Amino acid sequence: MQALNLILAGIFLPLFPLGMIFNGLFQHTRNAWLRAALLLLWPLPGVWILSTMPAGISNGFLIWALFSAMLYGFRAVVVRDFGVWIGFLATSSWSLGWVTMGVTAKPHDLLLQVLAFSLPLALLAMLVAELERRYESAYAGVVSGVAQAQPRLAVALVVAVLAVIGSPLFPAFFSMLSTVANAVNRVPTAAVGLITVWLLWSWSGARLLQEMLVGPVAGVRHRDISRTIAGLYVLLFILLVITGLYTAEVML
Amino acid sequence: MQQLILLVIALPFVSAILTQLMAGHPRRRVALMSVAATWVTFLFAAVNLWLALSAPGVHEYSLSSTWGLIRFDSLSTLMCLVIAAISLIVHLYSVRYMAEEPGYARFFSLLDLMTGTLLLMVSAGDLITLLIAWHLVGILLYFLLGFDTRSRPAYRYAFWTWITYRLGDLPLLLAAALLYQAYGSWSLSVIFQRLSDTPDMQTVMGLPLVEVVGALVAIAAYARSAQFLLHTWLPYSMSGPTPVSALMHAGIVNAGGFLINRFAPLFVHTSGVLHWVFIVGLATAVFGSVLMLTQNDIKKSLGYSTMGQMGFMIMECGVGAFSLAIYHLIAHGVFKGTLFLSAGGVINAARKDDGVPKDPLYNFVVEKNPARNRKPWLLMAAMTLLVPAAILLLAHWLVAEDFYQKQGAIVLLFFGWVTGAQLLFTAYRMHTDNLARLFTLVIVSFSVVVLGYTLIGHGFDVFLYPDETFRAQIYTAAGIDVIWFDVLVVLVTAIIVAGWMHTYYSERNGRRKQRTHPLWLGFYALISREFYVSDLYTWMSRRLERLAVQLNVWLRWV
Repeated sequence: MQALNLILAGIFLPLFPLGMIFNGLFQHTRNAWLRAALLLLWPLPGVWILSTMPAGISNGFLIWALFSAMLYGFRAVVVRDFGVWIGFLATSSWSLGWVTMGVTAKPHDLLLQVLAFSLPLALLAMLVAELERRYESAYAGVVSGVAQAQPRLAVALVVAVLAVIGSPLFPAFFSMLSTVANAVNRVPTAAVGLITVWLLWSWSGARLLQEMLVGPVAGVRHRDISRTIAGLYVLLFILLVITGLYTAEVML
Repeated sequence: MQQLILLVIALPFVSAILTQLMAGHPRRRVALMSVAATWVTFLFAAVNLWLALSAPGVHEYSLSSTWGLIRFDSLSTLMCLVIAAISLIVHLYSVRYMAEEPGYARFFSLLDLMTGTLLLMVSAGDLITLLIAWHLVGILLYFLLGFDTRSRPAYRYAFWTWITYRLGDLPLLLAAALLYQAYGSWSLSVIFQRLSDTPDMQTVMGLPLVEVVGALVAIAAYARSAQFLLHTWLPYSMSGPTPVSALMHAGIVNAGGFLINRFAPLFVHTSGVLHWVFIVGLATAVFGSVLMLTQNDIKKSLGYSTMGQMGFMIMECGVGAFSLAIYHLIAHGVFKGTLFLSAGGVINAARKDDGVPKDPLYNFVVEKNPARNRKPWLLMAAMTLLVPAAILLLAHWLVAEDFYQKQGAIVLLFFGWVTGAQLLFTAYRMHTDNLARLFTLVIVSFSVVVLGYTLIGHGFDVFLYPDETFRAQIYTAAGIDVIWFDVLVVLVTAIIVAGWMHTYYSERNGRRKQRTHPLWLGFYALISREFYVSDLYTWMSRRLERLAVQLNVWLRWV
């Protein structure tokens, strides 16, 4: 039973190679709403299983989780398809849930951490759907010069990516800070691993963004998102920041 | 009244939002809004500094229960004024400079956000606020440097900056985590208080906490202040708008010196970290200066000049002259900002007229045409070596009779002495009708500079670190074994004196034109490729990217 629980947890809070199940499913899902729902719901069974497990997380699982996070973070560096990138970042960030449970053993912190990544990822999935609607794909190289052509969409994409890669005031920043602070004394190598993963996210995020946003405008001009939709995203980002502040109060 | 610091920080953020909201309005109105807010920020920052001068002390204001602590002290008020002043100059310059650029409101909005974040960084009273501001500076700089969204090179170099800054964020984060675990608080005041009570605490693997945290803080400072091996972003980040270059070189890059000063209560308890800070600073100063001399692009040359200056600033921290580093960063900020803002004008003017003045000074400097058959070389050599030393000793004696007991002061004296000697040597080689007059002018100028530097530096010392015991503790932490120090002093002095004497002697007897030695050519090639550091990084990142592609192919991109 224990082994089955661990395998299930390894699927929903993905450990390599079990993360391939989520990524395969995510890449085959084309509907934006379904993708967002998947990003929000997929890790929850994993959170529940880890929270109810009587024994703590062994160091072996901790190392495995860090390896998975690092592997997917590293692979994301060269990804040029926004959809694939979202999947890799989700896999990389959720696997850190094992580390959080290993160093804090607080189910509430685990749930907050998973949501800290799922929420901006879901938002980003919606924005990527806007890109795909216009360019028929969200692939760097096919899409470029978005900052010139659709400035409102570009700003929303930038903020969403910043939220995903754990930039300040967004929940992921405080969640990562809390995990590093808790890991540093108990498992110092895990703390170093965590900050390496964080660096890889920044590298991949900035690389992908600048390949899509920068450059001359493509031949065919597409419409930008409307002011109303842009306003809605601004509201959602403000809510995300408020969630971040709440995360800081609870986790730090 | 000290709560005014909250307004100083908040105003640029409010201005950033309003400026962005006014994006559809005429450009003049957008600029007016942003500039007016920066003026008010500057005035409030000046009042703040005046308050700190009239009633020294530390006051803290909390915006949240665990973090969001704003610290009012001598360092934060001084740095706030410096940032507000540089930001104001950059704002005023940008009003016309950016007038033709698309995204005018976005530019001013980003500039305001950067100003606010920098103000928050220098006033942070807890580690979380400091980390937030420290991290945000990197993000905002990325978007300021890549302001022109059509330019791929601008973003390429902005990315170098971003990734180096991220590398620097992470050690600071680890340092913060270690301090929090050791002292149970994020507040800097609480941590420093508990640290002075129990400075001998140990951390992971039984290592001394202060040494580990000190080293991590120093690495964060190196990345921010472009120290050797973490410097490649600085000279290449010139593709951004000129006002951004000015702001970066005059303000942002100085953050390393500020950070070391902020953690001064920690560094006084370290024993080895400051020596490494000195070595890294020294290496950066030498490499930066050498690379600056070989550039043929004015902006890149300024970039490497900044690197050299940052090396000197970090080196000052390494010898324990913390407050002098703050004075240095302010002085450097003012003159480098001016140079950047006038660089465009110089380039424009040079297109119309080469501007080569027909005077002997220019011929001497550019054509390197020294005078022959000068006055008795031995007398001049003795003057060159003794006069600067006498002026420096006198200046330091004026501020502290026991200065010779501080190793840091002696190291800085050395640098001053070499600079003064170089100045006199240059004057000796110049064509002039009245050598005595020239020398008098050189010596008077040198005296004014040295006295000014020493007295103002001492003023900063007293203002930033009023506790004399604490000042002495910093110098002690930076000191090395007396015997080793004396041996090094004698050795370096002997090398320098021998070098100068040899140079004077060869000058006196006329230098023979020799074929350039292949070793020199090799060295020049090395410099022209900037020691292959950026080539190495590019090669490494390409290898990593190739490996990531290979992994993705093997794993079928899932």
